Amino acid sequence: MMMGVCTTLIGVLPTHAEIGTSAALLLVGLRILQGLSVGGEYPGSIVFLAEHAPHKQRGFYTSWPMFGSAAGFLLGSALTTLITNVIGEAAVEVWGWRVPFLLGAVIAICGVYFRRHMSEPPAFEEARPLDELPLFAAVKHHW
Amino acid sequence: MNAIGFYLLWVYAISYLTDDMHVSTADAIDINTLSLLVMMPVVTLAAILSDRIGP
Repeated sequence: MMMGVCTTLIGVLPTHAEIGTSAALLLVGLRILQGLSVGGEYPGSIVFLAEHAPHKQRGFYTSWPMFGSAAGFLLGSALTTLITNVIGEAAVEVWGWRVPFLLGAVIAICGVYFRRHMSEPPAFEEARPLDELPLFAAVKHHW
Repeated sequence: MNAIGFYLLWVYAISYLTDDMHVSTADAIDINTLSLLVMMPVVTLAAILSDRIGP
């Protein structure tokens, strides 16, 4: 989600010619936010899959984020090659480089959609509902 | 650990190959792409193997 938004914003950044050094600072800032979002999403997705996976297939399920990140890298390279070949290198340097970043919006929309339709892991849903807040229970009963 | 390996293999590797090993940029990127293509099935097969003999 945050990843998709940052990527899209990189696609609409003004150039150095337009706003000077601020353009570079904004780019670095957005890249930092992208990095933070990877740090949150990637391990989170692995844990999410591990919790949902049948016991016997936990490794198989949790290997998919790694597969997906490699596939994403290749998709990125392929898209860049395609765009460069279609519009030419000169056009890429002027406006073409924005296209892949703007497509980040599609990822952001997918992110929202998936998040809306996600369920808690089976083990969590089987767990009994809380009678009281864990903090209060700990203070009250477990000195 | 995964992140360190990841950056070492796919981000720094290109700089290392071009700057220190004097491989051309195009070749370095080809090597990188090939390694990603190899990695995808290997990761999946290794995961299946770990399910078989791991737990």
